[in-house]
Amino acid sequence: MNVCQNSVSKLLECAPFAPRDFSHAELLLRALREGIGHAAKNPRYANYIRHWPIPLAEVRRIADLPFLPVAAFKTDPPLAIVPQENWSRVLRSSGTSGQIPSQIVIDKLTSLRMTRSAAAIFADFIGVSRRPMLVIDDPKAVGAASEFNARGAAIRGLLPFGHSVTYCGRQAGSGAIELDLEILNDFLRKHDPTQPILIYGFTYIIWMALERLIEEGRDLGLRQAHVLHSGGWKTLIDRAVSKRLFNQSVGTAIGCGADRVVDFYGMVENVGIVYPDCVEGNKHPPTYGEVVIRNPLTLEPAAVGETGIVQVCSILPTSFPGHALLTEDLGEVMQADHCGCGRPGVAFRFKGRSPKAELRGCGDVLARRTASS
Amino acid sequence: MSKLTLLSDSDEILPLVRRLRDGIARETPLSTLIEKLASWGARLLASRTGNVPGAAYLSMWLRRENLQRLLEADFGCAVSGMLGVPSAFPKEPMGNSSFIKPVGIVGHWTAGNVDLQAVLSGVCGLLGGNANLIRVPSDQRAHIEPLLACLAEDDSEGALSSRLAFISFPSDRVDLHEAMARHVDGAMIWGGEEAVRAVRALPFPSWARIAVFGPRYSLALMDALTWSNPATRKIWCDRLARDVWLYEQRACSSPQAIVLERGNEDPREFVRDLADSFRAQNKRVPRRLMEPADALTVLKARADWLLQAQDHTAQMSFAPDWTILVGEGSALPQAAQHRTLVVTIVDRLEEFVASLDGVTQTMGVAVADAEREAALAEQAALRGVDRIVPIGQMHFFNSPWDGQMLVKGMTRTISYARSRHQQEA
Repeated sequence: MNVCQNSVSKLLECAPFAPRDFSHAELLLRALREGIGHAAKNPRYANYIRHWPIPLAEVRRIADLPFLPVAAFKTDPPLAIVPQENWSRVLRSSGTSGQIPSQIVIDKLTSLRMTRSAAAIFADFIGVSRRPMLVIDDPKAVGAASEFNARGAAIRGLLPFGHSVTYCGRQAGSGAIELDLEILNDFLRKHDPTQPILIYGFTYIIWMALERLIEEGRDLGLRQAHVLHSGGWKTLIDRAVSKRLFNQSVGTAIGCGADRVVDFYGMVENVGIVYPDCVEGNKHPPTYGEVVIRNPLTLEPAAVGETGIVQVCSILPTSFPGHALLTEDLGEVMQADHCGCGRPGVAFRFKGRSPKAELRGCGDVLARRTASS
Repeated sequence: MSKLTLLSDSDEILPLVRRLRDGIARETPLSTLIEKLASWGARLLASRTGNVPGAAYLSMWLRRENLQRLLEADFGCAVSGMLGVPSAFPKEPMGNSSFIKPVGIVGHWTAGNVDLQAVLSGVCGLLGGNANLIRVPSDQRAHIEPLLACLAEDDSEGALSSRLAFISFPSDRVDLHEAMARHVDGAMIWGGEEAVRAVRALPFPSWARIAVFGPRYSLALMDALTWSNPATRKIWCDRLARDVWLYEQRACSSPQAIVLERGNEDPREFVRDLADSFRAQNKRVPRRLMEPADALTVLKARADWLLQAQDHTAQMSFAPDWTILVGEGSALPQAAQHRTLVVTIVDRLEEFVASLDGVTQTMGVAVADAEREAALAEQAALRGVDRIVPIGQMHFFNSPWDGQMLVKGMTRTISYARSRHQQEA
C-alpha cells in the first residue's frame, strides 16, 4: 500500500488545471513529500535525501524539497524503488549520440497514473473525443511493449485520443523519416477532412517529413485537425526554423492553421506530465505537479522575467524517484500566476537546453580518462 | 609595442614575427631583462591594475629574487655568469665549450582557465632570451590589456616589449593558429586534453621545440598525526580551501581530492573543520556568476556520489558554492571542479601513493614526520608525480613545472669546439 496514495488520489480527481489555492498547495506538498519519503526505500536514494540541507520533515515549500538532477537516471541498473519483478516496462530517453540514455522503471501503478494524468492534460487542450490519429513517424518508433523510447512514450500517451491510428512515416536509408504519400493519401481518402483529426510527430520529424509539401504550397485541407508535436527544437534551430515559422508552415500544409499546431514538452523522467503551449505561448504545470525555475547561482526560485534551470515535480511515480527533478533545460518565468489563457500557476517558456558542461582547463584529464575507461 | 593585437587575417602575423626577430637580434643582458620585469611588477601594484585578478600575485612573482630563483632552479650556479654576460661566447682556454642560446621565437598557447598564464608563460620564454608570440584567449583580453598598458609606461626603450607580442583571435580560427605555428621555433602549450591535442597537430617547423603542460590531475595528502591535532588541522584546512578556490579548480595544480590517512580520531572532525574553512573562504571569495551547465555539473557530482554507495557522505552548501564528498577507497576520484573536493580515507598513505601514475601533477602534502614525507615524495616521484609541495602552495608557479624546466626548456645548449688551440693560431 502506497502511503501517499490518499493525497495523490485526491489530486488526480481534480481537473488538470484546477485553481491553485492553499488547499491544493498543501495537498501537493504533502503528496510530493510522502512520495519522496516512499522513494527512500531505495537505500542509495535514501542516502541522497539524508544529505539534503533541509530535512524532509521540515520542508514547508515545494522549492525546498530534495531534487535529483535528471542525469542521475543515466545508470545501469536503473534507479528503481520497486523490485524488478514489479517492473512493467523501462522507458529510455532519446539521448544524443554517445550519451547514456536515462532509464526509467515503470510499474503498474505509475503506468495507470501517467495515462490518467497525460490524458487529462491533453484533453484540456484538444478536448476529450477520440478521433482518427495520424502519426508522422515510422511504426517501429513505438518500440517493444516492455521497453520503449521517448517517441514511443509520447505516441502511447496520445492513444486514448485516437482511433484508426495510421503511421505515415517510414525510415529512409539515411535514417531520416520521410513521408509515405501512399499511406497519407489513403488516410485522407478514408476520413472526413471536416471532422476532428489528431496528428502527432516529433517536431523535427514533422518538419522534415512535410518540408516538400510546405515548399510546394500544398494544403491537405484538414481544417479540424490538431497537430501535436514534441521532442525539442535543437535540430530546427540549427536550420533557422523558429516556432512561429513552424506553426505557420505546418498549419498551412495540414490546413488547420497555426493556432491548432501545439508544441508540448515532456520527458521520460517526468512521464505522465506534459506541458503544451497555451494560446499565450506559455506552459503551465498541471494540478499533479509543479515547476520551479531555479537561478543557477543560488538555486533559489527565479523571479518573473528571469531565466534559470527548469525543475519539474510530479506526484505520479511509485517506481522511480522522479518526484522532484532538475532538468538540463532552461526556462523563463513569464508570470507568477494569472496567465491570459486562464490556467492557474506559474507561466513559463522553455529557452532550450543548457549548453553542455565542459571540464575546462589543464585540470580536465581524469574526467575524460574515467569516462573512456 | 606593449599592446594586445587582435588578429583577423593570417597576413598580420608576418610583421609581428619580423619585429620579434629584430628583438632577438638586439641582445639584451639578462640582468636588464630582470630589472625591467621587476620594475613592471612593482608598477603593477602601484597602478590601477590592482583590480585585475591575480595582479598582486603577478607583482610578487615578478620580483627580482623570485625570477633569479626561477633561473637558478633551471641553470644552477651558471646563472651568476648569465646575469653578467648572458650570451657572449665564453672565453675559455679549453678547446671545447658549451653555452646557452634562446630557441628563437616561442609561441605560447595558454589555457582559458588561468587568467595570467599568458604573462607567466611569456616571461618564462623571455628569461630564456626568446622573443614570444603569445595568444591570449578572448575572454582574458580584459585582464591582460591593463597589464600591458602598465608595461608600456615602464618600457619606453622596448627592452621587454620588443620581444613580446600578445595577440588574440577566436579559438576556432584554425588558419590563424596555423600561421602562428609556422613562424615559431618553440611552443609552450597549456590546456586541457582537447586543446593540447589540437595545438600539437598544428604545422610547426620540424625543428620546433614543443613543451606541453597539462592536462594533469592534482591532489592533497595528509597523515593521521597532522589532521588529528585540532590546533594545526584548522590551519591546514584553511590552506587547502585556498588551493581549492584559486582558479575554480580548473588548473592542473588544483586539488580535486584530499587523501586522508585513517587515525584514532574520527575523520568527521576533519570534515567539519574543512567545511568551516570552505564556508569562510566562500564568504571571502563568493562566486558572482555561475553558468547553468556548471551548476548542473556540481549537482550531478553530488548526486552521483551519494547514490553510488550508502557509506558515502557529504557536506555542502544549498547553492552550488562548495561541496565536500567523503568516502573510502583507493581510486582517484573524478574531477568535478567548481569547488568540489573529494575526501578519500585510506588506511596507509604509502599504499595509496603506490597506486598513482603519471596523470598526477601536484601532490600537496601535510605530513608530520619529515622522513616519512620525504619517502612518500620519493615514491610519488617514481610513480610519475612531478610536484610535491606543502598544501597551501599547490599553485605556486615555479620551475620545474610538469617535470620540465620552464626557462631552460626553451633554450638551446650550444656545443662549440674550436678548430685550433690558441697557441696554434
